[in-house]
Amino acid sequence: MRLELERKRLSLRVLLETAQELSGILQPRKIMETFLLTAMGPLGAIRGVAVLARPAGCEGMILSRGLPPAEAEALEQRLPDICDAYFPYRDLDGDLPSSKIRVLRRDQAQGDSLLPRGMDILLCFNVDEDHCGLLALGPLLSRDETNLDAGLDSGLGAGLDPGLDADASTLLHSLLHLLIGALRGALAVNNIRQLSVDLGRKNDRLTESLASSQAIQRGLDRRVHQLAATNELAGELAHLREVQPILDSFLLTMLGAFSVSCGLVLVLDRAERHVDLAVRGAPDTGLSGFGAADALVYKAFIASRVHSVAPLTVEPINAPALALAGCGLPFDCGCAIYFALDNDVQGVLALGVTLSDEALEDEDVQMVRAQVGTLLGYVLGARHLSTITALNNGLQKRNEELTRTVAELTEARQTIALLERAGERVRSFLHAEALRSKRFSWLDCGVILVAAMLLGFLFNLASPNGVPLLPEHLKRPPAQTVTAQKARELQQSEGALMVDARPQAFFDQRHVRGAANLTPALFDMVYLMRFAQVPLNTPLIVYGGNISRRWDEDVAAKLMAREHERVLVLEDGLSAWAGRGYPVEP
Amino acid sequence: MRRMVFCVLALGLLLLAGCRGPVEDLVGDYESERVDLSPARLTLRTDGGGSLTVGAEEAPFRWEVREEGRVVLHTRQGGTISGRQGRGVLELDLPGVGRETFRKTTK
Repeated sequence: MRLELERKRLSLRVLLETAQELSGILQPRKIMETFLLTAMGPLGAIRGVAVLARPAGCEGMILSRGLPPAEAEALEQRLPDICDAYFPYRDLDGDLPSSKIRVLRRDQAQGDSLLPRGMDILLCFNVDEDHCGLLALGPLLSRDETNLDAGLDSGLGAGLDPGLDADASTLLHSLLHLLIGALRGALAVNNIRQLSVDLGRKNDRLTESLASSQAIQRGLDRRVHQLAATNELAGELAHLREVQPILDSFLLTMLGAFSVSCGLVLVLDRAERHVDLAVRGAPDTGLSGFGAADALVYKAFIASRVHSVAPLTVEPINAPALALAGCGLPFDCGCAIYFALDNDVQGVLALGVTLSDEALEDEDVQMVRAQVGTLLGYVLGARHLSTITALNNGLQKRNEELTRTVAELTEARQTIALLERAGERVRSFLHAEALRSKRFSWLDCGVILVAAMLLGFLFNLASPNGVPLLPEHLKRPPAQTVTAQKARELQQSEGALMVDARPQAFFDQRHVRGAANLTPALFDMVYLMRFAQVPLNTPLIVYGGNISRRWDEDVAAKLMAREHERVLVLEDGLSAWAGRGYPVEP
Repeated sequence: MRRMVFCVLALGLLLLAGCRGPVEDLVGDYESERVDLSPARLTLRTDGGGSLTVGAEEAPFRWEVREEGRVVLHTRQGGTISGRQGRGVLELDLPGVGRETFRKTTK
């Protein structure tokens, strides 16, 4: 009984030491080496072989102890064969229950020749779903030869080998379970490490993929932004009708779409010697002049390596900063495109570096090239529209002139027709009048007379020198008269002044001696020059002719109107004076 | 036809304007040279009107220049007075008064 307890104590101590040795070891090879070293002694095995393999891949490791080096090396070379010989059951049921331990007798083992001779104990076991193991021990020392001389009885090897009793067999199973547990832990740790490494690698690849995808995303975003800007540009250009606004809008959109700080676009018409220029982000350095613009376009044509100017040519310029140097570009050129509408109309698009101070990528340059192609379409349309508008204006002017001419011709024709009708009427009127003149009537005379009187009356009424309708002498009281004798007395006694009212011709023929000629027609002027100094109380005797006394009465009335106190009219005029023999002259 | 008529009228107006030379020379104020009576002032205006002023009284008339430089004054009552011009002097033949000389004082 005491021996039995001692043997159990020894078995437990072996198990404890083995467990302590195996604990903390994470390499399977080291575990198997330690196991062999720890298990061979208590079991009395001289040699030991441990195999850990993955039957699915025919790979694994073989460790031996107590074998000559050459035999141990040859054994390692036989690993695939050992896998085929000792682990064929995987092909049958596909999977192994964990911790299954199978004891093989030497005569049952198919690969007996593969293992060294003298292996009394063969144990196959499963570590996990993928790994299997093989433990071969032997030959065993006799019970007396073992260091367990007192602890091992004859029944130990009853289940395994005739050399092992039941306690030894139990110990071997326990040790094997420790080995299996240690290997599982190590393999699990190794698997976890491998998984961790794989995860790290996958994480690195994912990080790289993420960075790559982000770069691609940025490129796609930029492309989407460019396409959106281009789309907006197309909508905006569709409403423009002139070249200059089209260039301004196009350049603004290009600068925004490609994040460029400055640029210019120039269209040169050599036939018209006209330049359309749009510049943004930089001052105009004289490129609006025809000479400088022509030089720039010519240099761009040479640098674009276009062999001939074909309509709607669009060609990027390689190394634009160098190719267009000295052409007056007001900025460092990062991208330039030469384009031509036809032989006469050509142009250049030059863009500076981007806001991040980088040149445009090739894809961006190709996008710019495509946009310049679109621009050419709009510029061509604007030029055609301008031409059509000019032609329409010319046609409209001609149309207006023709309309005016037609209107004048129509008016002239109407005038001619009117004149013809008027002439016809005049002819017919004259003809009728000619016929009617033969039927002259007093009524016609009366009408003519009344019309003439009416016209005369109206003219006299409107004229400032018109004749009054009623003679003045009818409205005024008759002048005081004097006889020739009395007049002679007044002349001699009171110095009366004789006034001849007749016209000068009669006066020159004969008049009273000392008389003054004062006719009604010249009354105002002659009175002022001759009678203005005559005293108002001087008697004035006015005389006229024999036929009419209106002149002397008119003059007398005018003299009285000028406040002469004694104005007398000589009765019977000059004839009465001369009849009495009073002096006359000449 | 209209243009021709217009040209003829314009030419006539130019000729008339050219004939206004002597008339322009006559325009101005004149004073009589008589010494025993109140001074008489004669005014010839460019519009063909004129006036004779003695003291506070004034007699208006219209005037014209006829052939050989003869000046004719037309009174409001229909009478005419002729005269001659020469070197700033205007001589009028006033019926019943005689020849009256007026000397030009201002233009």
